Amino acid sequence: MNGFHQPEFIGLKDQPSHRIRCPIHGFIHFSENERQVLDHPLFHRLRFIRQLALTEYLYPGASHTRFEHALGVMEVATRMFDSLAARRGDEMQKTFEGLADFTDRPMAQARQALRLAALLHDVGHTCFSHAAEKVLHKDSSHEAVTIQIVENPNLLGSTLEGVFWPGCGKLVGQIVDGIPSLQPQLQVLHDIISGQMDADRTDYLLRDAYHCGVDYGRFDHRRLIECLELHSGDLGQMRLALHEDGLHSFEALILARYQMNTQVYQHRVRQVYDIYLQRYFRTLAEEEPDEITDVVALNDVVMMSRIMADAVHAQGVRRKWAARIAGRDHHRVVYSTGANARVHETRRSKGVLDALERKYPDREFLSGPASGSIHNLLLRDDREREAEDAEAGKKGYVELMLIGRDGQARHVDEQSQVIGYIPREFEAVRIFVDIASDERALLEEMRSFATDTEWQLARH
Amino acid sequence: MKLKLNLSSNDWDHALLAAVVNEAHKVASAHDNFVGRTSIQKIMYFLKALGVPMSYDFEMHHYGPFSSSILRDMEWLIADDVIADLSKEPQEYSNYAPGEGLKQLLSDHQKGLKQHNERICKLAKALAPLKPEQLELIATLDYLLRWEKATGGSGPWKPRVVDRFMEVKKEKFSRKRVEDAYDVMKNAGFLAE
Repeated sequence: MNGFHQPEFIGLKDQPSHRIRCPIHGFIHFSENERQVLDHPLFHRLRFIRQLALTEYLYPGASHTRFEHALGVMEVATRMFDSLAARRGDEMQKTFEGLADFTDRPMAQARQALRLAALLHDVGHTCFSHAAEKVLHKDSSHEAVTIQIVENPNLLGSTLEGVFWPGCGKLVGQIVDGIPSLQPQLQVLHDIISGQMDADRTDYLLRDAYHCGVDYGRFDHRRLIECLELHSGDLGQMRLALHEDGLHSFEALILARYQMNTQVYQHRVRQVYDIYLQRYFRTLAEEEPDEITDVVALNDVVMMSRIMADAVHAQGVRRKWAARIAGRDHHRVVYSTGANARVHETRRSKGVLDALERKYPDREFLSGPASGSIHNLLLRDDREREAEDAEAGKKGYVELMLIGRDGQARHVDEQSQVIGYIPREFEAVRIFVDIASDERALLEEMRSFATDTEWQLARH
Repeated sequence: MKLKLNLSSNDWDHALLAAVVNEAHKVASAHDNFVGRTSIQKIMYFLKALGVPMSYDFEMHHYGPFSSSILRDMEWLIADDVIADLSKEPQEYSNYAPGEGLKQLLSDHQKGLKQHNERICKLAKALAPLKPEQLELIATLDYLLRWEKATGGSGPWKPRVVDRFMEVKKEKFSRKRVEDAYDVMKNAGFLAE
């Protein structure tokens, strides 16, 4: 089933009538109705939340915000949807027509819901993005806050319902959230927002690389979008797939994720400032925001201003961590596991930390994991284990299908010479020490001691 | 016990996993069963369905919903002694139990966990005694019910869901077994009819 479908719009006010410049995608167009979301204070606040927290201490250009990323994800998601509709429009129309929520113009409503989900997928972030969320709304996550914001009538819910259609807010929340709340027929929309080759990672890789001034995150995303396909999942759900002509672009995407994780997202300097932020926020524990309105009132500007003041006027550990952040004065790495640390290696790092603390009792050590997902693809070995139907074979890895010129679907790793060699995760545990820059010899001594200790622990 | 490496001391998802292991272990032990990977996955999936906040993204597989991030986080929790894996062959199967650091993590998140404790206990009680195959059956039924309901109408849902189940799962389960599982889940309040 094929059928070319032009982009459809629900009404006149849903047609693109405004535009905004983007350094990555050129002009991004949006409608009068979407403008009401963009101008909403809950979305506007993303202008004051940096995409990469304090990564700018390492890459000074990385001061871009969640606001421009959200617009970029909406643009990429739309291009993905339109690319699919141009080749597989009939199949998409048939799927969306069967849904009770799409009563008016199914293709137009699905496209609009996707654009809104892309635009709002990160609206629940608080100050310093991931660095702070574990502390500042510790009984939740930014994803859960996002769902609340788009569904709650007192937040963005009533705007979405009033401007677009009744039930729109809930639908947008489902697309962001995925199963089980997602209607299975809309799985492909979730795949476009959050999958192995989604609009979110496409935009942030390109955007973060651009602002950091590195080339690692770049890949031929236009080719990838042109090669998107559809495939039927195990239970009949419509899944995102890839035409074989897009294989090398996809490989480049995975490699870009690997390199951005090793060089930017999990960089040791970025990690130590994330630890400082978490330690600082813990000193504010008595002020932990209970209400969602308190969480969304926070942003980087408000919090950085407070950190600067606390670096001078606060007392005790609050002042200590604030001063570290405000003065860019950080600990140095004394030990790190490999980039693919498993349970045993992680456990050994505990022993290394114990030994360091015993040998250098007057020094302060900090430790923590640096962890990022590279890909989550089901590979040949996993399929063989899955076929045995034992618990060991069930790991939740994703089956991404490559559609050949002959129309046959094959597993992506069967056609790729590269993907099987790229690790799924970057996972390392690092130990940092408080040491002055003129204590280089002592730092080297500590590093040797840590390495020797780890070696001895490994032998036992 | 101090969580030495700070792998999990302030992470809501980890606290939720620890609470689920704690409850499921109590129930499974009473039934002479153990808590494996599938039990944890399915309890977390149904908790998410009941609206408990978490950042895990589930994928629907032929063996039911599964989140590889949960599997990865369980390894962090084991490394930090929050959870223990008592399995003699951890590459083949897991046998999760509370570890030394579990109490502290639960205590750190006492306030948040208290809001969801009833749901955690209820799901652990219902699902922890079940075998992986039974868990696959009920999670798939839940998924297919959501599919049918999304198309509109007012039911009855059971015949439509069971028909669709037999269509996609072929001979793996008998129709009688599927119908019985549907009734059990409905009566327990786990199916969103």
